[in-house]
Amino acid sequence: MTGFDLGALDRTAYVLILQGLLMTCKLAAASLFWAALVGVIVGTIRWSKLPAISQLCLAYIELARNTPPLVQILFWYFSASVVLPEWAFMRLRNAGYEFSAAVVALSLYHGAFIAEVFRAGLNAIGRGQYDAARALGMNFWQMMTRIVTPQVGRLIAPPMVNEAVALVKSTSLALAIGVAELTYEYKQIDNFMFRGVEALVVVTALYLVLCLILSQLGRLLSNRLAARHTAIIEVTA
Amino acid sequence: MVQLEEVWKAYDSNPVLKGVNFHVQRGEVVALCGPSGSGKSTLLKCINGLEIVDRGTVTVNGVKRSFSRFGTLDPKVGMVFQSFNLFPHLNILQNLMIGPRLVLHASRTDAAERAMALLKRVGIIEKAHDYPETLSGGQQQRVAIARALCMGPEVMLFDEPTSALDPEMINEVLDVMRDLANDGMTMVAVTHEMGFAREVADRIVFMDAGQIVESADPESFFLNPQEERTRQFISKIIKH
Amino acid sequence: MDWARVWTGRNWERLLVGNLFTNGEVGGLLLTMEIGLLAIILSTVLGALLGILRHSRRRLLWVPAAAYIETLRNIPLLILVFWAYFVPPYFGVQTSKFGSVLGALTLFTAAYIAEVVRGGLLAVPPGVVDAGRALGLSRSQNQLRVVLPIAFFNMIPALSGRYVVAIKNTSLAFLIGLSDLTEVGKEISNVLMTSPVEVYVTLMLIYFSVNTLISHAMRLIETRRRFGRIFVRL
Repeated sequence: MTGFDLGALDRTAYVLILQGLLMTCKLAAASLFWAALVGVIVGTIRWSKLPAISQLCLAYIELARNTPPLVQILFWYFSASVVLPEWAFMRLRNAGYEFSAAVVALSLYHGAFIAEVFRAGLNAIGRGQYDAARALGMNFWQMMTRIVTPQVGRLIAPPMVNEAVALVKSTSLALAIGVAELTYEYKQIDNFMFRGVEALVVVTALYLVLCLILSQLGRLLSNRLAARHTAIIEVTA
Repeated sequence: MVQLEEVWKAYDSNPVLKGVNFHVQRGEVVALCGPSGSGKSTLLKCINGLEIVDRGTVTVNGVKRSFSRFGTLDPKVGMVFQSFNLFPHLNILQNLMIGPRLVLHASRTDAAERAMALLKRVGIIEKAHDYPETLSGGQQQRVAIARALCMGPEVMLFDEPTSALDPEMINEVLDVMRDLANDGMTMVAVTHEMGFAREVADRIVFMDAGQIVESADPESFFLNPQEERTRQFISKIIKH
Repeated sequence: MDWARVWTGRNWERLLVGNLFTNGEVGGLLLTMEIGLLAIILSTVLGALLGILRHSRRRLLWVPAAAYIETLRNIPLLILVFWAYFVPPYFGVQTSKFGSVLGALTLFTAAYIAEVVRGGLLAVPPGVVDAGRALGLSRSQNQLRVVLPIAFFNMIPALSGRYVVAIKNTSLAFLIGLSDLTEVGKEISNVLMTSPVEVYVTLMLIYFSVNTLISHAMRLIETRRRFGRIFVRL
């Protein structure tokens, strides 16, 4: 190979890299949304200790956390047609199959971790808060949204940010099933243009920047939540 | 006003309440005392539903109550906790208004007026826009009482309201409770403050090991206790 | 679902040891554990060193450690594997698949373990250190007999978590063609074509069992106080 030369990466390469970056962001955003949803619901169920359903959630969490995300991605890609009901599978197909399979896998994988973080957060707020809210006559929904979430949010912000960064990194595994994200594009450039090292440098730098920005945003958010006792309720005159 | 009939409750396999019969008349002030583990806090929580009885009936204001873990509780039964349990992310005024706004669907102005009036009554109106963590224990507990009163309750339950306070702050809270009693509120208070009980309560109930041992007016209770266990308990605490 | 097709003797042999008995090539679970355990040991040593450096107050020591940790924690492991496998050949250095995966996984995991070690050291209550000095212990005695044991027990749950992650991360070996457990599973699935569910569920069960064992072992170390005796033989 002729010496390292970033300039040797021509326009096509950069276009591919940009497309890959975009796809990574799409995949990460979609997975993060669903993972957070799954995590909050499952975490709440586990915290409430409802019989039967909370054991089911425990089984899900243990399974998802102890098996490699790569295997879970492969599982959903190859087995979805067998495991899911017809209508679900058709919906996935229409949304772009590889992408959907990756989103499902990553959501379920990171969702399990988020569930544990959320459960820990709910437990960390003293029991007294729940008692006081209930004694005032609040129903479950009011209690959760007005009293619990504001306090929990402050507690779980740092681990949630960590999980988000981990999720962005996990997206690189999606190349195994053909999702054209950033790492996949690197491989493309390496295979077809033989400028592997330059491409790898650019891609690595992009991941670094992406993850560091995310961490910084997260830290800002944590600081803001901790400093101000933000009241979500507009109850004052 | 409040009636508990043949109430049984156990935690895992430990029985905490064993066939308790407990009645409170309207306007009565009852002091509940006993050694720790006797079930007094549990009894109190059975009245408003924070604990659910295994057997027996709970009747409040003529209505037989059946509580569920996820149902809402009756705001007409107010509760004040040992550890205050003010909402740390809301300021004092918001702490008082959240109940009336969300549960009683009061208007913003009505809730604010009522809140300010109650803050004045318990003597902390100047702290209305501060956050709980900046208040002393005694002040926080007075806020907690005001918060419960904002709901317009018919019965007020107090779970060891002064046990977590430094000695110099106990009186400010007891004064508020005394005022409340004088205004005719029905009150059940689990307390170790025997001086307060003797002065303010209409009846003192002594519990031990999950059962009510003795129930009498303060005079009779202290001067002429009927049961041996009561005598032992009184002798231990009067020494102070 | 046809389990019998998947759970044949030959398939299980390949899943567990790869082609060890046919042509001497280690693969499957055996290879996964080889990479995993080696990575765990090496990264723990490297990570402990980095963690202590990071904990230091001298800028010469903690700044490079922090730089390493932050960089390694903000790029995907896969990228690191590609660096290890594809870049050295450009400079004339030959790489092996096994070596690249092991190296990348070690460097990656060490960055996380460094943070765990630092956390464990930070969580030692300063009052305890003072108490040791007040008793007349020298600095090294204090560090060895008081600080280290406390820090060690602080770290065990978090370490256990990182070890489990390391075992899971070995599956990336599949993406550069190494015959680890995941790769063998994929091969079997390709051959059989109609039983992907059974194959991948089997893979997950195997990983799950291994990881659960590791977690339990670590929890035993944490709870059996007699392990603390190795620090305090008075």
